[in-house]
Amino acid sequence: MRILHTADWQLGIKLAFVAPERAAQLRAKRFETVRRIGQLAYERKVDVVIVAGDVLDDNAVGRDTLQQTVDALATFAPIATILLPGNHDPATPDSALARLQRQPHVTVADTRQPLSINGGVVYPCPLTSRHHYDDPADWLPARVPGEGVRVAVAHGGALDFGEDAQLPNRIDVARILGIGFDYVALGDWHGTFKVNDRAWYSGAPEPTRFKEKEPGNVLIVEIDEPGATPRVDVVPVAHTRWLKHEVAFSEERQVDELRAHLDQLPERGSTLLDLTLSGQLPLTAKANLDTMLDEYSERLVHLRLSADGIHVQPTDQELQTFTAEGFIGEAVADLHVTDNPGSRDALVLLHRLMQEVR
Amino acid sequence: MRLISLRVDYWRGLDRAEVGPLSPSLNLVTGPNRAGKSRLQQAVRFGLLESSKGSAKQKAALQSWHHTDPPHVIITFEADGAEYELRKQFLKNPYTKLGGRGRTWDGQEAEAELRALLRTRPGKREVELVDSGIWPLLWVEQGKANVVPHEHMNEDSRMQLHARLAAEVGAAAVGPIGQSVLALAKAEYERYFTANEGERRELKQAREAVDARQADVAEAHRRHAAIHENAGQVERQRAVLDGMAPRIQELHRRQQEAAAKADHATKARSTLSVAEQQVRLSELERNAARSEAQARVERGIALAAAQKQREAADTQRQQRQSFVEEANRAFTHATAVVTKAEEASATARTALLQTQAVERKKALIRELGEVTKVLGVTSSVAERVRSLTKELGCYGAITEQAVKKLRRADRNAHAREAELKGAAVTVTLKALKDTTINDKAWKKGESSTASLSEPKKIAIADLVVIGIQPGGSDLTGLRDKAKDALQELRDSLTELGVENLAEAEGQLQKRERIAVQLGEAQERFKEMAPTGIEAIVAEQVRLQAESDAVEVPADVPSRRDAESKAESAEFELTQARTARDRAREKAQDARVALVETEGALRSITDRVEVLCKELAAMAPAEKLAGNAQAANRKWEEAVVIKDDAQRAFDDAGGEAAQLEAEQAGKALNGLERTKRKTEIELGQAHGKLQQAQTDTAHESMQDAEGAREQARSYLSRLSRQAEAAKALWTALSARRRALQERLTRPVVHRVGTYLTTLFPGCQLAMTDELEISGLVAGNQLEEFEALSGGEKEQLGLLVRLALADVLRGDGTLPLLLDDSMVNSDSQRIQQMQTLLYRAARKLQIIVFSCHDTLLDKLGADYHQELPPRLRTAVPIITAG
Repeated sequence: MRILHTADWQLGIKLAFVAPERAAQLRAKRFETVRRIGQLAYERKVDVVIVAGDVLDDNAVGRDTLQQTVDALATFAPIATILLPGNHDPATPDSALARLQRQPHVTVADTRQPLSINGGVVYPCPLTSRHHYDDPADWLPARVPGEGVRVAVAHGGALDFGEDAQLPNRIDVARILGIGFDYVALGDWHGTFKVNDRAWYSGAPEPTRFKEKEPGNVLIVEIDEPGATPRVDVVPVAHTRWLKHEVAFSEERQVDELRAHLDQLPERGSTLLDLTLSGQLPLTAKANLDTMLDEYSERLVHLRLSADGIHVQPTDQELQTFTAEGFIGEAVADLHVTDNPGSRDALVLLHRLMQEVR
Repeated sequence: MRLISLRVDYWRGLDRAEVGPLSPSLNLVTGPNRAGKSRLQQAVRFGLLESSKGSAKQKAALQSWHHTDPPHVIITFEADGAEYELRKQFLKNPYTKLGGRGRTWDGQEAEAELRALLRTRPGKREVELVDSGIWPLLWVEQGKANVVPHEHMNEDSRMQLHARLAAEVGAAAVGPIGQSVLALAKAEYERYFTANEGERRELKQAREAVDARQADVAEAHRRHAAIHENAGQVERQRAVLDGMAPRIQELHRRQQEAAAKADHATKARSTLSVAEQQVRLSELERNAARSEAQARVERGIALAAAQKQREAADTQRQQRQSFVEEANRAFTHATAVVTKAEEASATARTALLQTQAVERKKALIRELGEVTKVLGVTSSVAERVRSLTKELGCYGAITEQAVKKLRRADRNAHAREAELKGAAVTVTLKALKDTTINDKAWKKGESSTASLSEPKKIAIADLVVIGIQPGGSDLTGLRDKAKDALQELRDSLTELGVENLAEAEGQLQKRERIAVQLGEAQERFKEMAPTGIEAIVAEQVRLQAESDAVEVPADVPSRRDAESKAESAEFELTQARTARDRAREKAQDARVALVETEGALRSITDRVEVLCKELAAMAPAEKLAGNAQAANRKWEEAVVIKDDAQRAFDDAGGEAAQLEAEQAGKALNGLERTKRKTEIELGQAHGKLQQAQTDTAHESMQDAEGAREQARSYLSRLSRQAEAAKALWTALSARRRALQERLTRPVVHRVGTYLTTLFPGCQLAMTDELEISGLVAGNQLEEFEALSGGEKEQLGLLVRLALADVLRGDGTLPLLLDDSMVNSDSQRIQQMQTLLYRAARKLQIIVFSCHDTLLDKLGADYHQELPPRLRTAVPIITAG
């Protein structure tokens, strides 16, 4: 039995911190990624595609999002596709999954009913509310003789995941495996994560936050027979790149190095960058840095900048420029002594004004 | 730089004037009005600052009125250690010539060299303040001394001042770059903040935008949450419905069981009802049979009793019949006794009446005698009344009123007579010889005196007739009044029928006496015959008739006997009548009792007949008893059947079974109603949910959050820029202020040395732009414009002295003051002279004044008095 295990598509999500037009592009790219997953499923000849929860970002998504979801899922046909309600799209009366237009190959697994799939059985553990304080998988029955490959699908935190057991939607993976399941397809954790040989988080195919670890993948899972150890292949599918970069300035040349680093980034139109800057820079270099960052904030999908840590240290030459006008030199000294973001910005501003005057 | 000498020719009516050689320190030029003091200062300004070329209005005004020769000026001065001579001619054939340092410059070169020496600018058509260098600050025109000095400062003078001050305090002044940076920093600050540090629109709008987006997010969240809430409601209602299903099923089961039980009980109830009806019917029949038998027995008893009553009644009737007959007899006897007593009584009463008639006749005769006597007296009184009345009638007209009127007329006549006599003419005639007067012969010596109140003619012989007309018109009036009064008196006397007033008075007395007598007679008559004498006569007649009518029999018993007999007869009659009445009542009672007994007998007889008939109509008593027994048996059987049916009904649950069924039905209906209501609510909630799901609540929420993030980001960026601009402006302006304070301190110090004399306790307040704010005393600022006119010109001069001292550096500068203390009092002018003298140690001061006596104490090194100049009546205007 060959499975494409994915989860946490969160279709319809829009990132608030990204500029509106870029955010709209990112939302559209998620549907492209879903189509890419469909293509992969076709190429890898999987028996079933399992989406382990959070197909949609919210039950209140609009018709446009639902239609785009239906259109993207249509590319999966005729591969059986199981959509599990997660905490973002639980099987409540306002369920968005229930509003999806029916397609023969798509099953919304919103009840605790096993689904037979080509020599195996998939046991869905749908969330019927946003937060379950009982184990959503506690209904799963033990293996009966003669059953084929058994796959459990659940959305939530695995008990042996080392996190707080008081959190909702906790899943006792060990118990599931103990009652004769061959694989547990998990969702909710956005990074690809192997709980054990038989239990995996596929991770989200598109990242949503910078702090996520190893997002952007789907899993191709092959289980030869009941009891056999699954073979798991991690396949990247993401369209967007979420990068983090830090620079502690001590020399002016590091500004140029940062520029070179940014220049060599591939696919800047699909890249989001979390840039943390600190250290000391002369006024001129700081002004150059500001100009460069202004430029890259336009060229990247999103530039998250933390630059309050940069201290401006005028060079002797810069100071001489200021002290030529006595009172300006004194004002610079005042600002330098104050040394807070406002006074640092004031120094940069003064530097710019001096440039303009000269 | 200092001035050495000045000469003008044909300068605005000043043919020629020359001043100099001037002292390098204190100079005084005095002269009366129109002597040319201001024109000399004007010549200095035009000569040193204005180009000789051009004929603008201001220059055209320099043309002298009396001469066609053009205005011309020669100024010698020392600058930068060298002496120069400047010659300029304006308007006609203008030229400029400057000589000095062994060289001579002409025309534009001379102008340029002069500007270089004086650091001025060429200007356009005329030299403005901006072009004039430091000189407007030092050369005070007439009437301008009270203008605040910085009004006469331009950028050049400021720059020079700043440079001098900077050199003096050892600090660099704000240079052009510093000024530009300041301007840019200020503009940057003002982009975000107002003068009061309030935020400008861009910042405000950014902040408001964040608030607005936050509100949008809250609204989007509310709509989003509403959908979830809706879904929750649907879920809860579904759960409620799910929970209801088994309860309804259970209620159905209970309701069916209760219904079956109730049905069985209903049937038993029906059987019981039939049995109960049967019991009631048989009971009725039993009671009827019993009643019928009982009625026959009761009637038999009643008949026997009635027959017994009838016999008793008949016996009583016979007794009462005999009673009636006996009573009738007694009554007849009593009636006869009464008749006899009545006859005896009538006889006695007749005898009594006769005795009474005799006594009456005697009384009438006595009364008649008295009446006749009264009649006689009364008649005599009546006669007197008549006699007096007649006598009084003779004095009918003599009344008190009439006599009063007569008295008035008499008095009036006498009064009028007296008036007339007072107004009459007394005429005395005396015959002087024998003659005739009014045809009457008069002897000589005969005389007569007459008082004439009427016109009279006196004819003396045939010689003369004398007409006497006394009194004129007044006497005529009096005469008429006297006549009228006399006539009135006469009329009154005639009316009363008397001759005079005395007679009338006598008659009036008589009349009053008769009237009194008449009154007394009338009073007595009224007492004796109040109803008239006719009534007395009538009474006399009546008494006579009544006496005549009373007949007196011959043999009349005594009144006492008659009364005794009459009383006895009356008593017996009363006794007889009482006995008769009693007998009559007794007879009547006996008859009534007889009638009653006869009635009762008839009634009883009728009842006996009725009872006999009824008994005859009834079945025999034995038969009726048999019927009653049979009916009783039938009732007993029905009761047994009913008791069986009651037991069966009780066994089926009785009345409670029906209630249970009813209760179960109601409970089921109630729950089903609740279910239907919940289903409707679920439908509505579901509808609302579906409707809400057509919205893009999630996308809207995210869009709102995105917009809020953008607004926050923009505000953050803007705030940071604003803070930077604020920090920069704050730092720069503070440092610049400190610098300016240092730079202005020398000026303030210099002025301070002068202020102690004129404004003790005060200090100059100066802005960083070297502008005078005013005077500070303690912490109180008195603004320059608020000072008096004299104080303004004094402070202005002191500041100009101080600024000139700063500007001179190591050299000197000429300070020209044209009547600059016109508003100051003499004491202040004296003090100012001391200060000018002190200042002249470092400056060349040239004072132009028309008050030479006031400046006696100035101590000028050079003093020139200009001669007075008269105004020419008609200006000479020469063409060309």
